[in-house]
Amino acid sequence: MNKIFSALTLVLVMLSCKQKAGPVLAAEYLHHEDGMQVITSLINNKNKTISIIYGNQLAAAFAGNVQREHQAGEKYVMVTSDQRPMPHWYGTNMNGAILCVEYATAVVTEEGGVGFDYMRRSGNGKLMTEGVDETSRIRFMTGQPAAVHP
Amino acid sequence: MKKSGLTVKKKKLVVVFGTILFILAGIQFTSPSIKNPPSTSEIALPADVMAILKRACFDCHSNNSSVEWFDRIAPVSYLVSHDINEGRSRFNFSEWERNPPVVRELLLWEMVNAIEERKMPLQRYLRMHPEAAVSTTELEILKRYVNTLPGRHKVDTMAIARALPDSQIQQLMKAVPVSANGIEYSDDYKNWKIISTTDKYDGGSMRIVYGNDIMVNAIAANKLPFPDGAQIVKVVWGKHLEDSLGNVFPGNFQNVQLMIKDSKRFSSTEGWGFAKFDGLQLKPFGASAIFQTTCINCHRLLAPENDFVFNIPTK
Repeated sequence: MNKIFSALTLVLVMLSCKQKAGPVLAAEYLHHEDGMQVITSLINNKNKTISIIYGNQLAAAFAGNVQREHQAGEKYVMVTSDQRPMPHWYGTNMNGAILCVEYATAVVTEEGGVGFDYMRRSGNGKLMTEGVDETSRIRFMTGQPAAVHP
Repeated sequence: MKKSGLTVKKKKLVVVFGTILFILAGIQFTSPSIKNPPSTSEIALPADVMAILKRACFDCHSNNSSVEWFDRIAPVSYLVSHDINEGRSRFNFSEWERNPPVVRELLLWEMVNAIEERKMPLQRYLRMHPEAAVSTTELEILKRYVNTLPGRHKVDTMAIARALPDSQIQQLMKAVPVSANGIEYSDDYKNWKIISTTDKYDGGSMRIVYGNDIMVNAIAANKLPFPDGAQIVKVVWGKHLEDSLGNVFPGNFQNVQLMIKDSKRFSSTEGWGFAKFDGLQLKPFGASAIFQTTCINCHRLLAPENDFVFNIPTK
């Protein structure tokens, strides 16, 4: 019976098989920061974006609540991408094109305290300076608790 | 001479047709019988959704298969019988309660996706049963329905558990968690690159997906199928309540899922080995390696063009 079924299936496949064009992989949607680890990710359904916040070891220690005060040397990178439906599965959205990459680095201020340098670049690397509330962006990027990684 | 030639041809035709008829008649005795066992717990659905699924899916995915006379004649009956047995083994609307609630929801989403991707109903079934086709309007009805399921709006309101008790950490450090198919847990992925991040709103989770160098290099080179040695790790969290700005952050850690490409070792699952480690204690999912079948059934049905991987960045 199995042989008969296999033969019939083979015939049907040969008669109906059409080769579909394969997908084109999008390496440009990937972003990597050497020496940085993931602090957390976030979804924003109002802006239709999806983001990842990375940090160096000092930033990760602060986000993990190991270090209670910010200290010079902390580095944060937030990558924000367009949100798009995941191909082949209705029910999931995923990252698409990178919209912007933000950088916040903790430095010692003239008064001896800790402040942050901030920079924002578009997905193609162009510096973005207009319409950015740096203070609120720094507060947001550097103030998120770390997601739990076992 | 010509007359004699025709006679020979006619004789050959008679022999060929006679043989075919003989074989057809013979295989009727071995034709499988298609039975409808009693329903134990039929799925309850809104009337409009039920009407669509009864027409499009119930012949193969329930104990109420409505079989036409031509479906009972071999060799067609072999195909019909196989499809019904296969369909009922994947899920059975007449024995719906056998699935845990989370699995029921997942199956309904999978069903919608199988219809949207035109993988179901099977094309060979539609050729003989065109009335089973699901229209775009009907698919929208099904989509609206799955969006009302509890998992769609699930929010993780529990306080975030950040670490195991010391005793459990020590136990975890002594023995590396191993999946039933032999795949070992490793946290090497923390040094890998991220290949995608997802909002899996069908089940109320969010994920970061890491790829090792072989995987990332294959993506950069647009190389499909992925080579042996490619690995993917999905880290899964629940979702916190959306804040006033629309931001949703990770809630509790749920599990880590691994996919490892080894075409020889995992030849029965399209070359991919699957593993899942649940909770902070990283408990291996699945009592036996059979759990891989559940994984590959869905990946095989819906993502064959992507080398059976969903979460890869594509244009």
